[in-house]
Amino acid sequence: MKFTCVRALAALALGLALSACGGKASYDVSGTISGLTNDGMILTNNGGDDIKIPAGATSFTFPHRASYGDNYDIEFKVLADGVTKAYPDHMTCVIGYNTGSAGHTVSINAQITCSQATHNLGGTVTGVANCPATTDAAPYCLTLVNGSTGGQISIAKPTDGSDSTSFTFASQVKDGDSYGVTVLTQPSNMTCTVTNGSGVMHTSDVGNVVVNCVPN
Amino acid sequence: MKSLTLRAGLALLCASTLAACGGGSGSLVLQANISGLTKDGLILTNGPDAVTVAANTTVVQFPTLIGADATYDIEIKQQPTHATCTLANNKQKANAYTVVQPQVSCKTDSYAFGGTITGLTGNGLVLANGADQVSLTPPANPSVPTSFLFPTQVADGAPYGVTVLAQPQGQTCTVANNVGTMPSGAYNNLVVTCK
Repeated sequence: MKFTCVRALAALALGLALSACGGKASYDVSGTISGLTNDGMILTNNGGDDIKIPAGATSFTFPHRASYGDNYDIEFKVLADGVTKAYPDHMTCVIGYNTGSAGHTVSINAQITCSQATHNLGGTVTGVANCPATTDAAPYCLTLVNGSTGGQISIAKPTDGSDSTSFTFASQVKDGDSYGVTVLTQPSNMTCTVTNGSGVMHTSDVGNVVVNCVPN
Repeated sequence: MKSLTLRAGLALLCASTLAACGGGSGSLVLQANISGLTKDGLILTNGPDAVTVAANTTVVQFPTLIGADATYDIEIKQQPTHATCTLANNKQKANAYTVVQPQVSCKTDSYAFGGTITGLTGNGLVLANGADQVSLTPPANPSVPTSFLFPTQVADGAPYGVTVLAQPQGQTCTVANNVGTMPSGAYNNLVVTCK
């Protein structure tokens, strides 16, 4: 009697456990996010099931789960123009571990890393055909800076004798950051002034900074 | 016979491995990665072994080789001038296969950066030192020079270049003493004049 009771209970427990498994396993379609500081990101799974991800999110889970064996493909939503991806505002992101077959790994855990978008800052320098002859010690006409942390660039005298040359700072400027170009070192016999030197970086490169040098 | 050959071979392998590792005499180079070092004066030590590290160095090697499984302890004997360095992974056992590079991270001292403004009566003035901005509003008495500071300090030896990002309503401001190299101390010589 006692044994029968135990057996019956064991059978019941086994039955409950099996029903809890539901027959076919299903999986959260989810992932982790780092560096997300702006709104605007939209993710899709297999081209649908859109979810909007708010600024500050560190993880996401799609509303629909995937059954064992289903393929998943987590991507940034492609907007109506067919090209632009729904990245967060002013940011670019990369995604990894985002495709596969549910059940191939213990859990589905895509990884998204976002960083603020950056763009080039540059322009032209004019009037430098007559800057002092370059030497090994000081082979540059002038040096431009973009504040204390935006980098600097030294402008060499054009070797082809032309009076103007273009420049681009090696350090790109973050989308939404300000920039301000000034002349850190002037040529010994000239004075260079900057126009269009200050502004705020938006969604494309800035190339309209003009530096004009005139003899003293 | 077979096992004897094997044993002899193993013994030979052991001996040659030990010789390659150098035993106590030392054959491993002890080096550390350095980031952010813009100033001279840093001296690192590992026991009696010392190395002087020049500004802008990114990798430093100690002159004395160390043996496999020898412990090392890299310490800072002298900080660079106007900078502070910190150490990570600096006390370990040398091992050719599981090397975690010792890391020296340095930060140049930075100082307050600002100046005075005179004549500001309109709203909306924004000054920029590159990406660092300061918004200035009309003071109680615009005719008296009023002090201001940028929110971000500037590192010793870094360049600075201040521009007018946005002019105030109805006025034009100019900045004098706006370009240069940060001294080893606060810089308060920006002179902003608005008319």
